[in-house]
Amino acid sequence: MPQYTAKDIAKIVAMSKEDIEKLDYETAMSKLEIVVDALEQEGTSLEYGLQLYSVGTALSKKCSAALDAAEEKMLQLLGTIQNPAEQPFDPEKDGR
Amino acid sequence: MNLLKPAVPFPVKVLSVEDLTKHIKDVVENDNLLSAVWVQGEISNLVKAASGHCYFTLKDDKAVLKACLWAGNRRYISTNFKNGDLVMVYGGISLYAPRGEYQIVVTDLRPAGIGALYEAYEKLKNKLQAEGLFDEERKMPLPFLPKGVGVVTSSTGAVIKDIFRVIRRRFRNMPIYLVPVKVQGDGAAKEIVTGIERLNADSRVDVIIVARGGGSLEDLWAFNEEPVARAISDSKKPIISAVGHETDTTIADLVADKRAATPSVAGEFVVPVKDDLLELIRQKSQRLSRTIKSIFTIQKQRFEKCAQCRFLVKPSLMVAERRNNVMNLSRELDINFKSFIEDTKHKFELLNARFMALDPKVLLKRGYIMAMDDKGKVVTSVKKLKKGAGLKLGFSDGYAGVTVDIIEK
Repeated sequence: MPQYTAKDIAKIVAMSKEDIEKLDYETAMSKLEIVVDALEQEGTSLEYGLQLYSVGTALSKKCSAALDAAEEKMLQLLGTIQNPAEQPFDPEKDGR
Repeated sequence: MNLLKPAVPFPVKVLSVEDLTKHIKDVVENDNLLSAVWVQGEISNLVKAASGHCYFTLKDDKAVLKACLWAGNRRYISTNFKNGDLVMVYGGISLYAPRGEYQIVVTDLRPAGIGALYEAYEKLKNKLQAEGLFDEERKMPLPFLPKGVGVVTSSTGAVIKDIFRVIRRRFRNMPIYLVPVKVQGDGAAKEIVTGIERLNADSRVDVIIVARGGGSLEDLWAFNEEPVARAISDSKKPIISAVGHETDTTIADLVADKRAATPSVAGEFVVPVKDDLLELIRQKSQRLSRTIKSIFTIQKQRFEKCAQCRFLVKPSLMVAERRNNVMNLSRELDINFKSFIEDTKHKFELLNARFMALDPKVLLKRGYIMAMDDKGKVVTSVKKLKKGAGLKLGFSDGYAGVTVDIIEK
């Protein structure tokens, strides 16, 4: 769990949907972890909790989409690694 | 006794022929000069025995020297020789006791006049060494896997075949570009230099082998010439030399980035074994697949841990939990209020009971009576009474007047 301050959370809560859309997976994921941790804190007010929920949902969606994309790409690459295309070999052309 | 004769000691100590010969043999064979010497002369009486050993005589105008060349040493000698050849041989003097003869046991044999070549070799070697051309820091590393291999050697003979065979065996489709050159005789050095330059300019090549089979110093001479040394040193691409046998080091070998003992070894240096590489790639790919899968799994778990946060899954919990709190508090308030009322009531009752216990009427009801004097004041002591005085007795339900008759203290 990353260390964070109230200021960090405030910054995250202030993010727009567009801002979140621009984040890479790792950044979005770290922010989501902070949001979840803050949401589970006892002293969080209801109003703040709802703001955290709103930004948390957007971050979660972003992370989930990034993971889906990564998984698809990974499977595609794994397929390439496991079945490499044979290079044509022409002994007449190669060599001298 | 003839006194004119030089004095001869008495024959007190007489050696046997064998002992004397043994002594001479010891002296001769342990002498620094005689045990390792180059000597020059003309070959005569040459006998090449079926065993492979050679016997001959070296002679000049004034002297002869018997020589033998054992088959084991003969194998390493590349110079051909016959009767009448002027040669220089290297070896040690040995004494053959049964015949009382000494001879030179030859370990190397080269054409005479080659001394000048050796001098030129040493001179160039020292010069280039002083320039730092042999320094380890100048040597370029060989590419791990070249695009193509350039070879400067003769287009005929075992050398190019060996190189081809080894490279093909290790890496079947490795392109090999041969620049055929003369490797000995007039113009050889020039052709070798041109070959190195051509391959330097050829972008398909990134490592060069300069090779020649074994031969005499004269045969290998092109590889001891300065232009060849300079061309190797100036090459922008690493050069492997495979010239002659391992025992004769040419200047080209010293300047080259790497020296191979034989052309086959040069082939081994220049390319890795393709099958080994493919296996390595296969292993690395597997590891890569495993790693990427595990990275993905870790990230997925990390994400799911967050995504499972109950407030994200069911935000209504945020309200519900708080509503619950409110209800709990409200219930607590009710309970607390009731118990407060109860407490208060209880306290009042206790107080009331105590108060009631103090009410005189209650005492009167229980059979006590209250005495009052004529003024209605409560009498609490007999001392205040006098015989015949009137007393008013209060009961719970009325009064009675009595007169004091007896006073006892």
